[in-house]
Amino acid sequence: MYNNGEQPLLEVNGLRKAYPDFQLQDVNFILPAGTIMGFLGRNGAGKSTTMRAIMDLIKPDDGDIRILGMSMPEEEVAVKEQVGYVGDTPLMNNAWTMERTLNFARHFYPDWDQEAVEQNLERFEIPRDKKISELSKGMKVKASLILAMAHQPKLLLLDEPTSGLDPVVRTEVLELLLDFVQDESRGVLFSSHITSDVEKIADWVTVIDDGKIFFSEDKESLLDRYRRIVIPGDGTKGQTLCPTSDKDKKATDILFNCQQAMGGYVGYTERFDRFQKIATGNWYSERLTLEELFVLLTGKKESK
Amino acid sequence: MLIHISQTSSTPMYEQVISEIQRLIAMGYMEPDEMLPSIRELSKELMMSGITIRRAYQELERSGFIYTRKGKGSFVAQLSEERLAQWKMEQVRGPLLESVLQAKKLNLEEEQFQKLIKHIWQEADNDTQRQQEGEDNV
Repeated sequence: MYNNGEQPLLEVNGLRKAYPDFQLQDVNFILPAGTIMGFLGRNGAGKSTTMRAIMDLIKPDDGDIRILGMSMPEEEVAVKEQVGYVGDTPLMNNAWTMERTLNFARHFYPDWDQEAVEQNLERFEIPRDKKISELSKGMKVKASLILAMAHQPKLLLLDEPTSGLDPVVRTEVLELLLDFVQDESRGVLFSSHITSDVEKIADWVTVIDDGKIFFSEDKESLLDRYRRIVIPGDGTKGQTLCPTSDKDKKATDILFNCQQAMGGYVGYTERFDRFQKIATGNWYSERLTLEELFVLLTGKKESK
Repeated sequence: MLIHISQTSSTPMYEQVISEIQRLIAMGYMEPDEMLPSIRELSKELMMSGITIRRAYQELERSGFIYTRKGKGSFVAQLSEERLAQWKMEQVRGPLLESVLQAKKLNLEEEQFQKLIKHIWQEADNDTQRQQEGEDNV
């Protein structure tokens, strides 16, 4: 189902782009077919820049982007037939109605699926005769998603599709994405700073911080290998597992970000399987939510 | 399939899916050789990522509750009475162990603890009876 030797939907290799105050540094990741990938990062971490570079809306300084094995600038027309993109500002003419927008867009794509469009418009009760400017924020997002899916692309690139939406509309958007990948030759890359949305529906999680990819990993193994470890008591046990003198040491066998708290030590391990083998005595572990993990990893860098 | 998942529970999602499907099978709501929904179908139904469902199915297969035919799907396995009884005991053992440890921490006597279980069991019986009577009266 995931990455079983098939052609990846999207490959980003060595992507670089320098701005005066920010740079993307060597961004690498792969999106396998059949996968929803959550692209997490704080505001300004480089999510939108990466997505715009994939869509060739900005010129990268360096790097290689392939969609279904095709190179992006060279085979742009063929590639764009396989991609649906919704940016952080929807590219719809506010003065047009939904009807006119659809009639305009359909002429550009041979594989336009009018039936699916009609069904989705009805399902989300989007009026065809109202001007885009008169639609609510939630309606606009759903409308641009329907538009992006209408030509049956293999890959959806969505920049913060759920941000600023109420919980009901957010759930509807997530449902649309799960619908889309029922066909396992398809995939979605959606950026978000809402970790709960990513935790819910994403198969893979890619975290970007300060223009660098932190990790890109399947969500289940990611959440499985990290643990919060609590060591009750103030004995030497906690001290050996939590070397306070070497705070930044990121050894895989011991804990990082250790803190002495009331009644014991609290630390984190990124290799729980190994920790279990070496740690003796009295301790217990807790799983982390994606939110906790995200804050732990991206916050750690600041404290250095 | 009627699967109940709690979004706020600290139990990981894949484990909730596993125990819910095991429950459906153990209680006979799903028959041997009945087909399970595909990973993608269930993922959509439960609003959960496919990889989480896939992991649950893998562990269900490992624990002998389901089997998978390549290209056809996953199906409910035939389970022996002993295996089902064993599974039921496993389900109760975990929470019970926690209670026992708690009781020991608070220096309760074993006899007191056993009395308590008997008492709670009785109470639960009465509750179900009352509920049934209530339903009959409606």
